[in-house]
Amino acid sequence: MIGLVRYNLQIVAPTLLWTGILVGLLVLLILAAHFRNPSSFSDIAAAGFAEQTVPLIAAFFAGGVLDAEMKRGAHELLRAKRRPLWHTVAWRLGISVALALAVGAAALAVLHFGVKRVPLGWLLLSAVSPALALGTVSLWARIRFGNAFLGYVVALAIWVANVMVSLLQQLPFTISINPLLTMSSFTERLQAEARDALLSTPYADWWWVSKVALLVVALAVFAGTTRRVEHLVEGD
Amino acid sequence: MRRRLRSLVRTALKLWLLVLAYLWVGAAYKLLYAQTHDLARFKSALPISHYQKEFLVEALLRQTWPFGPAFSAYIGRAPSVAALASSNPQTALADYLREREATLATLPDRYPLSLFSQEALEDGYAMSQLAALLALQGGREEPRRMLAVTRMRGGWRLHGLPDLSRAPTLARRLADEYPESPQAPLALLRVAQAEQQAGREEAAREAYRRLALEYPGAAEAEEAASALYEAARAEGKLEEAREYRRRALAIAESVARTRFPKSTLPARNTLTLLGFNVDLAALEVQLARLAAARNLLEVAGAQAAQVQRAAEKDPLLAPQLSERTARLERVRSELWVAEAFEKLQVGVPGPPPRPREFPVSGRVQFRGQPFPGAEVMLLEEDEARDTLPAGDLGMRLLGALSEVRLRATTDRRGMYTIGAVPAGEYRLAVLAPARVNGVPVIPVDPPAHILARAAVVRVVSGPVRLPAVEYAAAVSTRTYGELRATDGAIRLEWNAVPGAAAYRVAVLNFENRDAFRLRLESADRPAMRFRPVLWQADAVRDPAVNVPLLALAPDNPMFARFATYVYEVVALDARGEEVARSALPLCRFQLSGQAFRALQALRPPGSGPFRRRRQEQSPQ
Repeated sequence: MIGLVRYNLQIVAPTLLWTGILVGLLVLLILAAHFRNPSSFSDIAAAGFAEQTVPLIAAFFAGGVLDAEMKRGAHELLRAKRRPLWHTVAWRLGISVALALAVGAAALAVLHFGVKRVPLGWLLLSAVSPALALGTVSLWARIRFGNAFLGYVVALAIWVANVMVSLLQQLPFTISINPLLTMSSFTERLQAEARDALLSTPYADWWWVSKVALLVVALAVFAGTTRRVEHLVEGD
Repeated sequence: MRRRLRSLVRTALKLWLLVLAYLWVGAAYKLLYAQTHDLARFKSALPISHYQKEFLVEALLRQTWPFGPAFSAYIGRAPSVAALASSNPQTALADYLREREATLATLPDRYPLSLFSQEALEDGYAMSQLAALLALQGGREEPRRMLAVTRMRGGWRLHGLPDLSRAPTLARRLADEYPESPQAPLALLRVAQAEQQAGREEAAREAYRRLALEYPGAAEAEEAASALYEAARAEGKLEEAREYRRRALAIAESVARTRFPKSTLPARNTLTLLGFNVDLAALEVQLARLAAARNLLEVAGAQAAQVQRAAEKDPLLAPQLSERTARLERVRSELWVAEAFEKLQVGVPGPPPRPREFPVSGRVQFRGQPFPGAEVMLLEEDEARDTLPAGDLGMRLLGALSEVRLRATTDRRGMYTIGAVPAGEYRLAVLAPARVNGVPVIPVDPPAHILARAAVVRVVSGPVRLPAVEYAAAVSTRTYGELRATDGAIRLEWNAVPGAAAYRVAVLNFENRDAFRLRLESADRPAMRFRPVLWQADAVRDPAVNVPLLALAPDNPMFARFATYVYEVVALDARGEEVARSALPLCRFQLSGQAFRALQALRPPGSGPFRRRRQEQSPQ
């Protein structure tokens, strides 16, 4: 198992060079902003980071996990393994999302010990399914359009749409479009708790249902991605 | 090229299907959530129900059909934007709401197995009320009832109220046909309040009793018990009143603890319980159970200390707390007096003296005959201020009225008695039908020698008997609502008044008076504040007059499409004395689209000051 992890890491890591630099800058900026203004950091801000920023990092990391073969036109190598194709895709995806979660965990830990104590475990848990969902979407788009940049753009567009939908729900006259497929359900729950309005805020008590739904979306998109890669290979 | 186009179309279709799937999945989740949760907990800034708010986007995009025809009928379609942008958006919205009310009222009959029948009746109630209010504001319907409030300078200020009689029918259906529904207690409370407002006291009490018995754990049962307490107390049935107040206290405490299970009661709920404890203590003093009164006052005192700390952080609590602690101190002083009498063993017949609450009674008449069913209220200064803004027909006025505690309805003899009025000054208000047997009625100003005395009701040290409130027939006006223009003028008509030699007609604008400032010299503007006359004719012979359109134009003529005007007709006899006058709430009008366009056409390009143009127009 550790060998497999190391092996996939060796394949995935080089594809993360430029995205890693961008992510590093982003995380540093966020950390700097919070350290400069520690009073603005709270459980809700930490949840916002976990549920909004970590999935974005996962999307950047996951978009290029098959680039090692795809860029060199050697994608038939993906089928030339003993294990099924979906294993390979799953491992690569898993490693990239785990890396994103590790970056998020490190940033949150720095804030946790440097600024204010936050519920680290719950925050990381709430980040898992949005990261998986956005990561798989990024990978699917990369495979579908044959271009890593487009993969990132599609994931970013979905992220922006999700942020806008969340903002609409924050308005005094909340407009609820889709409270199920939202990445920030835990943040909304924390906001309701802070207002002492947990019982009077719809969907706050079912925040975990959104996480399950995003996992289902991630699985569905993953299945679609694997099939597409198979067809890509068979098409040659 | 063709292949590329086909590919684009396919991609666009897939994207659109993706968006629809996103909407449908979200809608399905929202539906499941709504069906498995108590929606009464979720309050919104918008005055619409949970379903209407949550499915607003689906209604706009017409994507409610996947969930069945009953759901589609329940959610309905959003109002047309073109109608809302018309010259009279209130009327357009009122028509839309009436249509929705009709659809929702028949939904349980059309779809008997629908999951949304209860919500449909509940929403139909709200839409009926809103439709009545907007129909009144938009000039579609005349007010059915009028509220008359005494002015500080004497006379009466009149406000028209919408006809809300249709809404309780839906509430009654909900309470009777769906008693297990979570909305049933609120529906029953609305039925009881509607019966009370209609003067049917016995039916109201029956509904309150049913609510308190069948839904003892509902928050509305507290209001029902409080209403029964007020009724029993007004009739002097102290034991019964105490029992109802105890029940209200128990319900309030139970509801508060359910809502806040793990924390001490929040300040607002504690204020409610403090109020109940004070009232119970007052009753115990009256019933000469002084030990029980003392215990209750100790509890109330402890609560007051707790709330005092919360009021220091929340300024909204301060006035409520101040009023409650004043009552607490009053009951403590009554207890002290009662205990003093007991110790001195002085024989005092009946309950111990209660030095500062007295009944206020009087009579309401129409043409010298009793006027039954009129609701008489005593408004405290804050409440009177709420009812004073001219033309305030809105929910704020109705909301303010429902909070008034000191009220009574005239009986068959036209008599009323408001019991236990605390010492202080009040403004008298009367809520009565706008018409009696089709004839509009208004209260008449009392004779000059009691004009000032009648303006303020002072309760000092004994029962108060107020002068009779006289209602008289008003000038029966025929013009109301949206009016068209003919030859650059608006025609106002009324029925001729017997004995009238001439009429004095004035057109005023209370609601938008600041939009007509430029026409006046600055010295005249203060007078405009109290009596914003836009046009006047002093000696009109016929029961009709043409008002020049230009006289109605605001400083910004585009605003005329939103302006609401009232006209006053005063019938004068041969000596120039007033015979009758019109009821202002029945004399409202707005400019129709045609009149608005005619007004725009009258404004000459590059004209001089507005005042000069107005002076060129001569009244008929």
